[in-house]
Amino acid sequence: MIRIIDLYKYFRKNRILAGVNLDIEPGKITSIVGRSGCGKSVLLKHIVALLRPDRGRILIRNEDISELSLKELYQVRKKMGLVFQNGALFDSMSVYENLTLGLREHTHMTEKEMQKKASGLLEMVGLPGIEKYKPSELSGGMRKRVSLARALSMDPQYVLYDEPTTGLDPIMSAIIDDLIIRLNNELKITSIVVTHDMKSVYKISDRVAMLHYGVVRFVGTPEELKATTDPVVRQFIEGNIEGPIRPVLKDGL
Amino acid sequence: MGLIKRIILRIAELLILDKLGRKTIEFFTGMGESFIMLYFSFINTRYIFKDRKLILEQMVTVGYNSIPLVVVTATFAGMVSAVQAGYQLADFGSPSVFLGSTTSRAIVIELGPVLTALVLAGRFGASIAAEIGTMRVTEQIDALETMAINPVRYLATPRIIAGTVMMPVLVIFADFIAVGGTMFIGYVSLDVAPEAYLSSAQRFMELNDILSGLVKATLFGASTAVIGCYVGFATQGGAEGVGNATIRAFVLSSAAILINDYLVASILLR
Repeated sequence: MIRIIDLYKYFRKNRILAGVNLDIEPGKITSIVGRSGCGKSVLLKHIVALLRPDRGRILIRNEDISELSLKELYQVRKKMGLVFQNGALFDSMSVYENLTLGLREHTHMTEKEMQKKASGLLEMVGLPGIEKYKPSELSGGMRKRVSLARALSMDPQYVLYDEPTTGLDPIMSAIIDDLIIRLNNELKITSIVVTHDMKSVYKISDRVAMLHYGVVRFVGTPEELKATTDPVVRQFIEGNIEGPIRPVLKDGL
Repeated sequence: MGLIKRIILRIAELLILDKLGRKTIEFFTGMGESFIMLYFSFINTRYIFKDRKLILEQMVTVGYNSIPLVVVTATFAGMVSAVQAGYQLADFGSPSVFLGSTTSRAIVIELGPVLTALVLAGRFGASIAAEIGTMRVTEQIDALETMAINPVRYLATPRIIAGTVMMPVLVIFADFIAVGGTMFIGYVSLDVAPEAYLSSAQRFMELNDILSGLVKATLFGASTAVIGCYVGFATQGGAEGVGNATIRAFVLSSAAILINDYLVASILLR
């Protein structure tokens, strides 16, 4: 279980998160939605402690990660995988080196075992035989899938996705969605998906949380989301221009 | 009219002072944070065996790949120092007596280390900043963090070790090339036989000269790599940020080379 309690984050004078409270249930896919710039990715980076909160706590299995030493934090991070929006693959390395870097650093696996693991991961994401390719030789969709394979290389208990379908064509988006569902079912991992792709949200989510003006405006199942009468949430999920949400956000809140 | 002009001048003055002040603070902040980077990199030297492959890769990048540049720089630096010395020694009669001693000492103490370091500040210092800066803005450093890999240990420490070790090696290499260049011009243009050149050089050269050159080179290598890493890690923004980081790394490491040059000279060459 991941618990986010009263989380605040400021960038200079801009308040990005203004008291976020959210529980992420284990073994489920939780989608976090909200307008561009509402703090979804900032929230995700807090969960892996790439950013430290100005106030509030993040508990992972009842352990406050903002109070951990670097060594303890690294132990927690070994149980997590983050799929970055643009892949964040190491461009000086081949796909194989990207996939095996974590194994090389943290395990005593032999080269043969790592080769087997890398090929299994690539098989899983539907990209067999591309071990020797460099990230620059891959398409956007392939990079995202390799990034996902890399996130899974250390057999994580939690996988966090930062806008996994953004910038992809509908077919590739559907492939990624299916992959997220399959991985969740097969590996029983807890998934957190930050997105504003509503089609994807309805397809993959067990629970949905909507961030608005730095706080969680809605939490519930996709069915509850569809049935909500909250005008702000309705405007967002229906993509209406008219409504309580101002079309242009000013800097900060 | 006079009052308005005075106000405008005063505002301009304050703006210039403000900018100058900011730049000065930025410069010293950069220097201070570079020392912090050096400290953390030093702590991570305990992983030197584990990271031997990374360190060797960086040694090849810093050392082997810089050889053509060092050869060109040192050859012409040596040749020009012979021309200059010949021109100035003409007033004292035959240049054969002093050409070896003056040029070789100048090369070993000053020209070799400083010129090599300045050229390499533009090559590997800036390239470290650009490489790490690009990794910063494309979230590759965040990716390392989320994989529980310490980016300072993985990226900075091997580069700093490689810079510190390879710079003296390159400087020794540059010294030989530059002396060769000087001897060549001495023989071709100034009628100084290589034997006369070498005997003059040996007569006046002291161990302290070579030592100070190598101490300088070690410091130059370490400071260039540390600054390149620090600036790379501090990069913000996109392509423009990486461009600015590259320039900043070159400017800061060049300044550090000249400051270190003065400090070492004033301590060792008393």
